[in-house]
Amino acid sequence: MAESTATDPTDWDGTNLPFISSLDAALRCEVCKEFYTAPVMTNCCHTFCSICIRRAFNNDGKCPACRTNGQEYQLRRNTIVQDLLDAFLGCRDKLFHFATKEQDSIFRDERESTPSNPQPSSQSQRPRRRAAAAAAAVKLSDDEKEDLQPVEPAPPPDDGLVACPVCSRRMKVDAINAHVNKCLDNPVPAPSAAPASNPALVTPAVRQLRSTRTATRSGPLFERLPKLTYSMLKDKQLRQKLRELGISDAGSRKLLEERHTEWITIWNANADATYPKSKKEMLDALNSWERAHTRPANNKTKLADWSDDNWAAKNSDDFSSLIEKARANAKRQKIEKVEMEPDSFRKETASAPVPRLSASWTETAIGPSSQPPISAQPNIRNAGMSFSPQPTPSIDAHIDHHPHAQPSVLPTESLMGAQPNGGRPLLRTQPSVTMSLQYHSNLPHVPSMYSPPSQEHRTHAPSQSQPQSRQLSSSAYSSASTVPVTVNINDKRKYESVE
Amino acid sequence: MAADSVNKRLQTELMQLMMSSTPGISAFPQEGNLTRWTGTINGPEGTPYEGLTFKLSLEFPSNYPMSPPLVMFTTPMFHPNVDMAGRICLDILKDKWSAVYNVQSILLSLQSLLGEPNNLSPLNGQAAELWDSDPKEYKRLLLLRHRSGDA
Repeated sequence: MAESTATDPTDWDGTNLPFISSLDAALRCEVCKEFYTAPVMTNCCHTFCSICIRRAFNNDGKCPACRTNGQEYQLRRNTIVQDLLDAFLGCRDKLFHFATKEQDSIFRDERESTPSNPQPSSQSQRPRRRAAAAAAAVKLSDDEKEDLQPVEPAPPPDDGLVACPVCSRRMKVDAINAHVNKCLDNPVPAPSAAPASNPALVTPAVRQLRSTRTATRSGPLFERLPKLTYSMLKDKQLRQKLRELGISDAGSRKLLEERHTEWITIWNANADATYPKSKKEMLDALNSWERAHTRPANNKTKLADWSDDNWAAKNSDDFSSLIEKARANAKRQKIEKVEMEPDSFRKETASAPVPRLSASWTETAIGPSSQPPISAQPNIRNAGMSFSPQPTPSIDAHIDHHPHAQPSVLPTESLMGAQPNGGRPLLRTQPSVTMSLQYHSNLPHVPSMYSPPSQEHRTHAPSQSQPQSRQLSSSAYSSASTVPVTVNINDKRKYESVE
Repeated sequence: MAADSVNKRLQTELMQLMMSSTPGISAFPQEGNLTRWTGTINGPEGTPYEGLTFKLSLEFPSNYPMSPPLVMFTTPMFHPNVDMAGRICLDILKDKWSAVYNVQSILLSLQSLLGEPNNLSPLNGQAAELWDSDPKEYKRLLLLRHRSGDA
């Protein structure tokens, strides 16, 4: 809902109609805190946006409001909430306009009325006013909506009363708040003016119209998609399914499954929508999910002060020596081959001075000489750890403080330390990464991606200054920190952290 | 979950926090990063924490609110359910998390945790022991810890 993006229930605080705040809040999803999009009800009778509750069920299978177990197939569209929302959004801007702009005039009325206005006059005025409004409404019913504005009496009669923004009935200032509340909840008491002054209120006719439109739009167009049991599918079959759905089939098995789940979620949530999105919009949503989903892992491999150029400059000696060796090697092999091969092959090797056997290696090493050798790089990326050629503080923390880590990581440290000026960084990065990964699997839990490892493991360090509490605190620590692993609701998070 | 939906929700929460101004708690994003916030809670009255202010860091995962934020005390803390590194043992930040919670409810829960620690599963055994047995020593150690943060 475009118009609802920058709004909030607290908008109403400090206006003439602060009590609208609770109505505004009641029409918002508890999960995303926005106005409902395709509201659906769970079997425990809580209402959420379709996509929010589907994601929540995918995550832990529980209702976010009451933790009752629930499943997607139990969700039912909550059409009355959609109607209420449409009605409210239809008049929200006008209400807000009234609540802020007209403040001065209301205060003026108040100032004028309160001292001089006796009770009886207001009571005597009201029926008259209502009759007038009724007459106006009758006259209006034949006219166009543009005529609505003039009907509102431009110069308010000097009766010391205020007009209700919903039904235009005039009443004492003291009574207006309670009245508007009632009026908004139940517009029937003032049938004369309500339809005219508030076109957004849903009349039965409008509802009829909407329900037929809904039926035609969302019925046959968007059939809900079934979930898949991924463990029953081979990679090839799963890719086939993704292609059939018209979405990308690239990436790891895990990513394929997650992409499929997300697409089913987006698609089925859209099937609940009164105003469904097009397939293109859904694909855009999936792409933006994918970008957000894969970005953190990529970001993490690069430190804030990391730059490719610096790295290249620092290790330029290594690179140039490697390149020289590779060239020499290539030359030597070329000479050997030229001597051995027949003429037909000689042409080919002459045009491409790269020997066949080691072609891929020399290409990456010689190619863009300022780049670090790519052969070692992808492994680091895939490891998904904050890794850099320099020993980082986080890795130091791992080494220093974790008891399990000591034997396997010590060599890592020495390698890492030797690396920046050491002979061949690319050869040494490989074992060091493997070892850190090993170390990770030793951990009682996988550090989540958003917890800096340095802090994670500092927990052990300070307890040295507190000898008497060490035993207790470390055991409690481990019991607390194993929770994310043992509880299966965190499967997703676990995965993300590993990735 | 798309990053914009996380940002959108955090913006909404920020707006609500600032507009409703709950006494004793506050939170604001750290410079230039909407997914890392700094929170402040005042020690509740009638507890050893009365009159003290504690800062926290909140880090929101990319699938917030489906997963809880990582919350830590950055002010040195002496409390049965907070370890020396500021890590907090609170069920709603772990397995009892629900997507309907928000920054405000987290900070309010933490505020009430200060006055009502769960001494049965302590992270800080010394604090858990002293809480009942020696309130005076508890207060002394608490103030010592708290002051160490100023230095």
